[in-house]
Amino acid sequence: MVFVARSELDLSRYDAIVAGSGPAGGSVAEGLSRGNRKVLVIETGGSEYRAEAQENYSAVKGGGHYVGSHWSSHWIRMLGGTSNIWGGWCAPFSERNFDRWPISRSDLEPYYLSAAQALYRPPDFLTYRKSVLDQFEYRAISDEDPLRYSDPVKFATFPNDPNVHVLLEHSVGALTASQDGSRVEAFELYGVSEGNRELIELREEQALVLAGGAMGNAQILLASNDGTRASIGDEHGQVGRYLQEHPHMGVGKIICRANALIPSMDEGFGGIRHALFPSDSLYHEAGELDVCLVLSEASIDSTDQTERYLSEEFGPGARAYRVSVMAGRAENHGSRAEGFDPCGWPLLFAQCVVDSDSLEAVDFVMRSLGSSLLDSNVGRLRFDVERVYSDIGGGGHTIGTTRMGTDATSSVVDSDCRVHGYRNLFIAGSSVFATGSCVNPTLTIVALAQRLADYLAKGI
Amino acid sequence: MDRRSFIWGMGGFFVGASLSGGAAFAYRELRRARFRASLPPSPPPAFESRGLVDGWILSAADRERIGSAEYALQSELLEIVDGSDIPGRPFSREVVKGVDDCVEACEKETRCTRFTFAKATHPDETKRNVCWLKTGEGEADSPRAPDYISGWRR
Repeated sequence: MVFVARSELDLSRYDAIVAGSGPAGGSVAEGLSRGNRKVLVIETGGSEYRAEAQENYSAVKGGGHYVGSHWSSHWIRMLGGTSNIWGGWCAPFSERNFDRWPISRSDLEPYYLSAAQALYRPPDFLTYRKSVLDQFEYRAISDEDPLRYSDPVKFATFPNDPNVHVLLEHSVGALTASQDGSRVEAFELYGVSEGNRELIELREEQALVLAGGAMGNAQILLASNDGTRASIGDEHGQVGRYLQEHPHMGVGKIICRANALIPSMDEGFGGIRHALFPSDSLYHEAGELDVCLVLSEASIDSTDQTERYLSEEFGPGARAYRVSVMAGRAENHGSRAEGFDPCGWPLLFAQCVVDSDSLEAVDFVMRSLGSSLLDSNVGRLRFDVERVYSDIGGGGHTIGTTRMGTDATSSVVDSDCRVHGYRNLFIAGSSVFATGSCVNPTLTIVALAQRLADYLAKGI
Repeated sequence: MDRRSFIWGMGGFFVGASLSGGAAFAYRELRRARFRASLPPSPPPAFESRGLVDGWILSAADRERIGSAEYALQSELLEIVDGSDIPGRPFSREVVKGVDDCVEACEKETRCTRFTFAKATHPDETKRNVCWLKTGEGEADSPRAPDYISGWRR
């Protein structure tokens, strides 16, 4: 990785230009470099966090269950992007989570493996599953130190890589389509410190990859409007439409026999979190909205009569776990752009609502867990049902603003992450997720970005 | 206008305003009272709290055992016996979460020499989880009453 200044830059010498330096952009650049391609990464922020850049270039208006600052605070404008505040949890999507995608888990399998490697994870958590209870399966969520894509030491090949140049404090703005609408022929380069704009023309073979986060990617496309036709990629009104977040809530407590729910794990797994997932049949009954039940160690409250009873009933060595949920979806129900931000780009408006289907899926899965524990008599569940309906948070999992699909009338990118109709415009990041599973998105972001890099390295 | 007449003027204004305000308030309360008397009783709230405390998904056998004295708070002041409805003069009747609350309430109240708690499994719904604090002395033995827990000062 070589930092370059605008004045010494010849933009025509790169095979690909990547907007954004987070896990998506960083992984695309790294993969392209491995394929011996030259890449320019353009990052709006600097090498350090600056509140002013954050405030000016991450503004979002919010409606529904999430305020605007929820989205802004998970759209970080600095080298390394949102990896700078990432918590470090990694889990792959399961087969069923790809039901409405044009690709399957098996297409992504080799990339999940390389993504785990790139994020410094032993790979066992990718495939480990154990049925621990009727209708429920145990899986491990990897919880190692998060990789910051701004880290000059840990971020793999980047430190000395001459193939990857990074231009800081510049931003990719509006794109211009060619006359026949088959490619992007130019983009606006905005210098953050001087506030200057220039039009950069793309060579016929150059690829442009948007990796500016789910908000940023939608914003660039919506800004790409010359007033004579629809914005680029938004010809069918699909940009921003499927914004999703995983509703998070703390929903209960389990007291159970020692080793009943959590298998004794090999040390080779590294740091892990424990989670239960509904079986396929329960998942279908829950309306095909996935629910991830995260179990964290808790203590038994000896001043509570019920807990005293349960600890004796399931003792000696009875264990207590708090149950929190990452679930289903919260979906965009509103308009997509309203007004402009300080550099003249559309200010996004996210009206994101946790719908009743998601809440009912959590309710149903929790009650099923309670019944399974009761029937198998390995423990009992306390279900804090009110918190499902009244205490909803989010994980900063911004997903789905430019979703993947086969049909341009219901999606923005195809299965190669190429924007429908534009042969040199690609998107990396969670914005292409067709559906969001219920687990943390970073691993899938990195896997998809590596897959895109492979595709580009072969094709450019 | 001099200062004195200004003060008198303002004072008069406030006295007048408070008199007419008071009269209007009294009239409104009168109307409300009459109006209310002709209304049917208000319906129960549509969204009643389902209670975070009792969210455990349990079997009937669990509930029975949790409700028994076996899992009640250990008290240094009170002797607690399962399946007993001890005689006495109740001076307080409250619905509580569990027998623990009843034990604690009796410990704190100096008048309380004995208590009786009706288990959550009591056949009479109106008595479930009711805690009676009682006064009374003498014979603590009572006929066997499986739906109750009682205690008395040692």
